[in-house]
Amino acid sequence: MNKLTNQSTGAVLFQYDLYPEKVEHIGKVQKVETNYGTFALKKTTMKKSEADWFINVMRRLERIGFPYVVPVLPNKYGDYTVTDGQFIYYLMPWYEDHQQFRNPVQPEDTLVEQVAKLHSLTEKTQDYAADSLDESSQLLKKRWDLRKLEIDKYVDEIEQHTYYSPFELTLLTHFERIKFMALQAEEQLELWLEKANEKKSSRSVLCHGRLKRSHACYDEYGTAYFLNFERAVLDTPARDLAMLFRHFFQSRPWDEVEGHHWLNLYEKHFAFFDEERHLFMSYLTFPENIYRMIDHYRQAGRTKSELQMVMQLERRVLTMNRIHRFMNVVFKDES
Amino acid sequence: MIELHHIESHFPFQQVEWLEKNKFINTERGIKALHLWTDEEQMKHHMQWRDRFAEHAGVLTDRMIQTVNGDKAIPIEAGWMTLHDVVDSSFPVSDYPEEMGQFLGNYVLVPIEETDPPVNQSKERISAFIDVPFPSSTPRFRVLEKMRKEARQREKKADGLARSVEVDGQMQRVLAIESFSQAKEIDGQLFWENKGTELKPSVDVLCSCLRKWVENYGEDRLDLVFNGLNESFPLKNENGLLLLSRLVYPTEYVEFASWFNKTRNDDEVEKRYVALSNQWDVSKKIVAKFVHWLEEAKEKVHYEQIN
Repeated sequence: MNKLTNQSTGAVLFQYDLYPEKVEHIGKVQKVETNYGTFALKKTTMKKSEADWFINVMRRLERIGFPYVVPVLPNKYGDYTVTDGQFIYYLMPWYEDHQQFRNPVQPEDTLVEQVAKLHSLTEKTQDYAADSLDESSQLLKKRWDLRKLEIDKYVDEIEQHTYYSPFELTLLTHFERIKFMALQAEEQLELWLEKANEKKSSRSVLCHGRLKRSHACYDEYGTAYFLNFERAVLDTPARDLAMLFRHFFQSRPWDEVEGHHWLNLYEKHFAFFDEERHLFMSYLTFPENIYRMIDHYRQAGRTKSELQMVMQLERRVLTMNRIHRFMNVVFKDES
Repeated sequence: MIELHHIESHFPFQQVEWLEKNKFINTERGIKALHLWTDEEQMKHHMQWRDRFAEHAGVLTDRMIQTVNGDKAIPIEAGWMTLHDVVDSSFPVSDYPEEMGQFLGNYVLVPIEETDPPVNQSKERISAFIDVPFPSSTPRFRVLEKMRKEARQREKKADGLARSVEVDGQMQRVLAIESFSQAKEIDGQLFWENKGTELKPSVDVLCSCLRKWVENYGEDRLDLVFNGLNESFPLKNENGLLLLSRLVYPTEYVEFASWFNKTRNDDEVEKRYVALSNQWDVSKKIVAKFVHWLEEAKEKVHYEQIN
């Protein structure tokens, strides 16, 4: 049915009464220039139910008046998405993403502040259900235990070697520290559960789900407009912020002072509850990034060289240690 | 009477002018067709039909263009008006027999809520005209009488086939297809233009399309149409028997006899007879091809089971 149902860009844009003059492919987005302006056409692999949820999220953001979002435009029939056999498309106005700003702003600061505003506008108190909290904590702990077990086994294996590869040697050097951080993550998780059960309430917010620099467009004044809400979920704010912080930690040099600054900035607009702060720290401290590197190293067809792997591992260990210092700074304030 | 400013104030167009008063407008976003509705229920049914059809079949179609307020119709003096796209270029239907077959299967299976009860085929096919002999003075009397007797046999055969189907001949109604010229093309893709408002039983729509296919493009690639149809409307089960029963049923004869018994116009018999004779042949070819296709499909299934 390709000829009949697999829609070309022209057939998709017809549903918006737009006739492209120029189409440029930029990743998964097509920049479409027309008589009526420039648009971004996103091609996704969302399922119908995911697309329905995505549109529900976008309309909710519109209803609550959250302005820091690139809107999704309806087509001439009133649909916010266009489906063909395999893909779902949606159209947005084209927002130029500025790297230099007229005002002296830090893009990370803007992102943190706007996420806080998003969380604050969508905050919802959940009915207390001890079972549900226990269950989600157990699920996460189980997953972590499994990951730890896999890595422990691997480390046992490499310890049998007579000679270590540079990567193996680096891993063995830092392994006790990595284990310690995993333990810290578990402790923070237990503290979260204990405090949440004491408090007998929890809250959810609309989480963007994949926060990172490239999922926002900055105008010339440094205001960020979020896009790619395809993975948005109702969840604890700790999840979204931890994801954003992890992205910051990996994408630029930072230290615990800056980390603390970002957290303060977030809490200026949307203060974490004590238990949420523990959950946030628990997400951050678990060394999943390092575990993923080990997985990659063990893969038969890995693309990175030994040297690259060692350098990356060293960097991640450095980040892990910074996170530990960041955690100490945050909880020093509390004590 | 519809005023242009009424359209301008409801739809997101800057420039609007009549191309044909009350029928077509030219806008900066292309030509649009107006459709006027006097029956609100019928209009709502068509809105639902087009939306569901686009979603289910996954093709472009002339759905109702929304107003700036998000409505699909605007009230006018005589009822309601809806606005639709107009596409000129034709889709090369004959180049895509398999795809068109699949499209037709999807078309007749559009999930839609019916306000009227579904059609019971066995009741509908009882036609008194088959039992009424032609007066001996009728032109082509002998051949018409021969046809009448054969039509009676076809009717019995069709009834027998329909009775063997568990679904009891019940089927939903869909918008009738007038011709394959409703298939238009946009940037290489099919755009289906809906025509008329008549709803017909789904299998009758399929039969009529198969006849149109043979009349327009010949019978050579009918197998491919069946293959495609089978993808979306599985023919190896009751659907196939139901379709066969409607193909065997002497629709063309019943239409002819019905016309003749109403008008008794001997002068036009010759012209009508030629059309009937052609349609009779077309039906025969389709039935033969379809029976052959069903037998081959059964053999294939049998072979697959053995292996």
